[in-house]
Amino acid sequence: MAITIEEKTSALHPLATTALAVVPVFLVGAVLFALLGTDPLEAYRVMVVGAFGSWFDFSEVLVKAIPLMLTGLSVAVAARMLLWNIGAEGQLVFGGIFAAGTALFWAPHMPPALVIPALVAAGFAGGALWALVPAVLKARWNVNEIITTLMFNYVAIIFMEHLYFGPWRDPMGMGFPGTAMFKQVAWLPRFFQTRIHLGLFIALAAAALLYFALKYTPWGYRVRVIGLSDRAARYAGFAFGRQQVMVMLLSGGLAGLAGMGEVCGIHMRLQQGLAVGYGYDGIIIAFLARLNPAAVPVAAVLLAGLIVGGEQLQTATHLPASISLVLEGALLLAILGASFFNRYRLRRTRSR
Amino acid sequence: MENGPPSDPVLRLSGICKSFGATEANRDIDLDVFAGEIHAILGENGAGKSTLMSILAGRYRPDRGTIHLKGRPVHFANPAQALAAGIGMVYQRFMLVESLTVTENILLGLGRGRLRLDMARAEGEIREFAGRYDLQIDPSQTVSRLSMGERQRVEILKLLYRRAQILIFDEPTAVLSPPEIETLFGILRRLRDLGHTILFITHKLEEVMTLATRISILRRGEMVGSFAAGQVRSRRELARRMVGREVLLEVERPAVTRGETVYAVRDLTVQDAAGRPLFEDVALSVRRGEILALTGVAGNGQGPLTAALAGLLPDVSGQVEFLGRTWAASRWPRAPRGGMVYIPEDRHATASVPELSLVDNFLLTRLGRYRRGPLLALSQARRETVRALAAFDVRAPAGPDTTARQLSGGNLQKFVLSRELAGRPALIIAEQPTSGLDIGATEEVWQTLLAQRRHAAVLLVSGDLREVLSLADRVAVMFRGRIIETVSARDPRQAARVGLLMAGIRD
Amino acid sequence: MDDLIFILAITLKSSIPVLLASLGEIITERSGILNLGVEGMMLVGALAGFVVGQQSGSLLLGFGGAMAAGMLLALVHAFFCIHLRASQVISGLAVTILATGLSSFLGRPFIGRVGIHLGSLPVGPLAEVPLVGPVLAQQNWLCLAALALVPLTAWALAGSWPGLSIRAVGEDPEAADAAGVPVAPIRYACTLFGGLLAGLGGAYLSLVYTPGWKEGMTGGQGWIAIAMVIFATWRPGRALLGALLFGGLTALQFYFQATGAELVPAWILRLLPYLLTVGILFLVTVLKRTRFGAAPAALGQPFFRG
Repeated sequence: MAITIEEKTSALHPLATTALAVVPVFLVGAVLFALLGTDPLEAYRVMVVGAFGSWFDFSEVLVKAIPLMLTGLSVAVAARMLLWNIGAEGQLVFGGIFAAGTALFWAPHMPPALVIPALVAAGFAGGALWALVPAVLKARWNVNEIITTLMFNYVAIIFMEHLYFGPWRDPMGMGFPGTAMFKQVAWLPRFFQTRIHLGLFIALAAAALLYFALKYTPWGYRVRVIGLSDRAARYAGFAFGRQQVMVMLLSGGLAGLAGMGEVCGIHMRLQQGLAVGYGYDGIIIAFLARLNPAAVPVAAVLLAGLIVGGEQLQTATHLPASISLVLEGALLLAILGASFFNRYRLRRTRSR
Repeated sequence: MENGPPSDPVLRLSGICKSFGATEANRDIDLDVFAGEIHAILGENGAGKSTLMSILAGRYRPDRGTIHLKGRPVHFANPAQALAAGIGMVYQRFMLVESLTVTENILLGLGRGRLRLDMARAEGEIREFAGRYDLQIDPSQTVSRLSMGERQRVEILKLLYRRAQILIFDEPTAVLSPPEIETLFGILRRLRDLGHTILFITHKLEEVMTLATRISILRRGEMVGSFAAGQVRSRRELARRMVGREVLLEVERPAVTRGETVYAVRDLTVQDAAGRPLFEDVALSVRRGEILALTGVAGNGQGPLTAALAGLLPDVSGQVEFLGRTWAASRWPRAPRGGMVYIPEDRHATASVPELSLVDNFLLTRLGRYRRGPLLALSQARRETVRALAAFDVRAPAGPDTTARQLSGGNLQKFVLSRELAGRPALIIAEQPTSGLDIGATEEVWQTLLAQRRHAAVLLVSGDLREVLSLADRVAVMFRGRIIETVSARDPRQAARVGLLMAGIRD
Repeated sequence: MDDLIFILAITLKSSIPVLLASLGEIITERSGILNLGVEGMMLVGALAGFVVGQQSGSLLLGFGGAMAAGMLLALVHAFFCIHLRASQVISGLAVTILATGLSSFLGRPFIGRVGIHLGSLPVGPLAEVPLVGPVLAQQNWLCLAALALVPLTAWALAGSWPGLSIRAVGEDPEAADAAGVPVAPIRYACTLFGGLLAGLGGAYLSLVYTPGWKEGMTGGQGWIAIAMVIFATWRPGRALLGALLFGGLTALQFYFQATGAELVPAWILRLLPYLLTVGILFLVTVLKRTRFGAAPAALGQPFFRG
C-alpha cells in the first residue's frame, strides 16, 4: 500500500479553510499553556474576553487593527505581483519619521486645515521612499527583494533610534527616548470617545480602493497578469520594471501610512515602541486574506484581537504576551497546510 | 528474424489502464515486445504513447493491468526499479542535470553507501565504457555545452551503464538535425545487434518505415494493432491506421498576389551575457501575400531571433523596417508595433494566462482597445470575445468564462489566433504554431495562416520540415546563429535541399 | 599591534555565528530548499543552548540541545516545503515568526540568569607566536570546528557521492529522480543539516559570545547569513570571507567604543553590516550574470512526480 497525492477538482470555500486552520493553532497554544502550568481554557477565555468582551476592549482591537490593515494591504499588493515586501516594518518606521518631522518642524507654520493632509502625504512619501531602493534594485537588476527590504528594516530602526536619542530628542524629556509631543493641530482626530483615529477610515478606504482598482482598471489588470505569469506579461508588452517599482512604492506608502497613524494618532510623538512587528504581522494578514484587499480588514481585526488578547493575558496572568507571536506563526503554517489539503487529496493506492 | 512471430515475448503488457483525473490516457492496452526488435510505438499527439511507455519505465503506475518481463509479473514503483529490471527510458526532455558533467550525470544515483568520489578515475572508466559501444563523447564536458545529439548519447550511455537491456526512446529525433538522425539510427541498429531491445515513440511515418522492425499503433488511448514492419505497404496506409480516417498530406494553397514589403531586418546581431553571439548578421524581408518560413534545428538561434523580430529582446544591433518606417534594432522593443502580431510557441503560459478567463485573456494584447475613461470596458470585451470564439470555432465549455487552462491545446491555439487576428494585422509572426496539435487542429491552423496572406505578410518560425514545405513560399534556414541560405519552397529542387541546409551542409 | 590583535580577535570571534548559519544554508539551498527560517532557528538554538546548558551544567548537552532545537524547526520547514508543497518563502517566514515568539515566550524566565559558557582555547606555547598566538588565545574550540567545517563542506559538495546527489537534486530534481536519486530524503537531510548549524550558531551567541539569554539576541544575523549565501555564490570558501567581513565590521564597532575614538558615529557603524549586505548582494547579483556561479536552478521549487 502506498499513499499518492492527487489534485482535487472541487475546493472548500477559502473562509472554511481558514476556519479549519485555526484548530491546530489552538492546540499548539494549549500545549504551551499547559507546559507553563496554566489552564489552557482559562487562558483562552482571558484572551477572548480581553479582546472582545466589551466595546472598550473591542475599540482597542480596532485601534491595533489600523496599522495592521495598512501593512497587510502593503504586503498583499506587492505579493499580487510576486514581490515579497518583507520591509513593511521599515517602511512603517520611515512613514512615522516623515510624519513626525512634518508635525514637529512644519505643522506650526502651516494653515491648520492643511496639516492633516500634509501628515498623510508625508507618511505615504516616507514609506514609499524607503521602498524605492529595493524596488529599483529589483526591477532593474533583479536583486532579491526579500533580503534588501529586510535589511532596510534594521537600517530604518537604527536611524529612527538615532533621531530620538540624538538630534530630535525632547530637550525637556529628562532622558525619555522620544521627541517632544506634537502640537495638537498635528494630532489625528479621534472618534467615538475611544482611541480610534482617522487612520481607520484611511485604511478602510485604501482597502476598498485597491480592491476596486485591481478588478476594474487597466492598471489592476496588468498587476494581476504580472502576478500570474511574468512571461505573459512580457509578451503583452507590459512595462514590467516600471510596474514593479510603482507597486513597491505603493506598498511602501501604505506601510508608511501605518507609521503615520501610530505616530500622529496614538503616540503623538516619535518614540520607542513604534517598531513592534506590525510589518511582519502584515505578512500573516496578507496571506490570511489570500491577498484579497477586501478581506484584509477582517484578517487584520482577527490578528489584532489575538495581539490584544495576548496583552490582556500578560496583565492578568503574567504569561508573556509573546504567546500571540507564537500563535501567529502557527497560524501562518496552518494556513499553508490547509491550502495543501484544499488543493490535493491523499489517496491510498494498492500496489500489489 | 522478421518472418514468423518469435515464440515468447520478452515483455508482455496486458490490460493496461491509466487515467489522469477525468482523461483516460490508456484504455485496456495489450502489447507484446520481442527480444532484439526495434519496435515503433506510433500515434498522434495525445494518443497515449508517452503514458504507456512511462508506465513501462516505472514513472507512472498503471491503474489496472499487468506487466510480464520474461514471463514473470513485475511492478515498478519508480524508474529505479524498472531500471534495475533492465528497462530504461530516454525522455523527450532529456533527464540530464545540465550543470553537471557527462561523468557526473552517468554516475548520478549509483553511489549508495559510498562517500569518496574519485572524479578522475571515474572519467577514465566512462571513457573506456563509451568506447566499448563506439559512442563518441567527452566524459569531462559539462552537459550544458553539448549538442542535442551528444546529450542523447549521454542518456543512452547512462542506461547502458546501468545494464539496461530494453531501451525506450520518446520521439528521439524531435531535436536532431537530419545527419544526427542518421547517426542515431546507426547507434540504435548497433545496439539491436548487440542484443538490446529498442522501443521508440514517434508520430513520424518516415522513421517508422526506415527503422522499425515491428510497429504498434495507438489511437486515443487504445491499441489499434501491432504488426511486423514488412506487412505495411505504404505510408498512406500507416497514416490511415494512425489517424482513423483518410488524411490529406498535401495542403491547398490558393494563389495570392504579392504586395509591398511589410517587414525587413538587416544586420541583426545579439550576444548573450558571456559575449557569445546568439545570432549574427541576420537579414530577411517579408512581403504582403507571402509566407516566409524561418527554420532550423532547435538551438541554432531561431528562438532568440524570433524574440528579437517580435521586439521582445533588448540590446540587439542592426536595423528594422516595418510598414515603411525604419528603426535601430535597439529601439525596436519600444517602437509602436501596431499592425504586428506575434503568436509565441508557448501558448499555455506566454500567449495566455491559465488562471484567467477567456475574456480576461482576450484583453492581454488588446488592453488599449477596451477602456472607458480610467476603467476597463469589460462588457465590450466580453461581447467581442464571444464573437471571436464563434468565428474560430473555439470549443469552450463555459463560453467566455472558461479559464484558459480548461481549453485543449488546439482550442487554445485557435483562441490565441482569434485574438491576434481580430485586428487584421499587416504582419504575423507565428512560432511553431502547430507543435503539439493533432492533425485536425493542425489543418485548421494552416488554413488560417494561408488565408491571412490576403492582407498580411506571414513569418512562420518552425522546425517541422513538413509544415515549412507545405506552407511557405520561401524558406530561410538558420544554422549556428546565421541564415545560411534562403530558398524557394515552391521549387522542388531547392526545397529538397532544406534538410541538408538545416545540418549546415550547403554544397 | 595591540589594536590589530584586538580587532582581529573580535573579527574572528564575531564571524562564527554567521559562518555556521551560512554554511548550513549553503547545503540547504544547494539541495533546492530555500530556508528563510534561519533567524528563528538561531534564536531558538540560542535559548535551547542556554537553558539546557544551565540546567545540566554540561556544555556538550547545551550545544546538543541547540542543534536539536534547530533541527526540529528545520523539520517543520522541510515538511511544509517537501511534503505539503508550500511556498518556501512563506513557510520560512512562518518558522521565523513562530520561533521568535517561542523563544520570547519560553525564554522570559531566563532573562538575566547566569549560565555556563565555553572558555577560551588553551594555546600553550603557541601564545608566543606574534599576532597568531594572542588572536588564537581568544578563540575557542567551536570556533576552530566552524573553520574546519569550511573545507569539509566544500569537499562534501565537490568530491563526494552525497555531494553529487545534493547538487543534482538542487539543479534538476526531475533528472535526479529519474537517475534514482531519492530527492525528498536528500532535501530533508540537507534542510535538517542547515537547521542544525543554525541552532549551533545561535548557541554560540548564548554560550560563547555573550553568555546569557536575551530576547532577539541574534539581531538579524540569521538574515545576514542568508544574504551571505548569495554573496558566497553558494560556495563554502566564499562564505568564510563574507562572515569575516561581517565580523570585521562588528570588531570596528567595538574598537571605536573601547578607544572612544569616534572616527565614525556609533549609529553609522551599527548600520553598516546591514547596508553592506545590501551592497554586496547588489554587486553579486549584477556581476554573477557574467562570471560567477548562479543559484541552484531548482531553488525554491517543490518537486513531485506527476
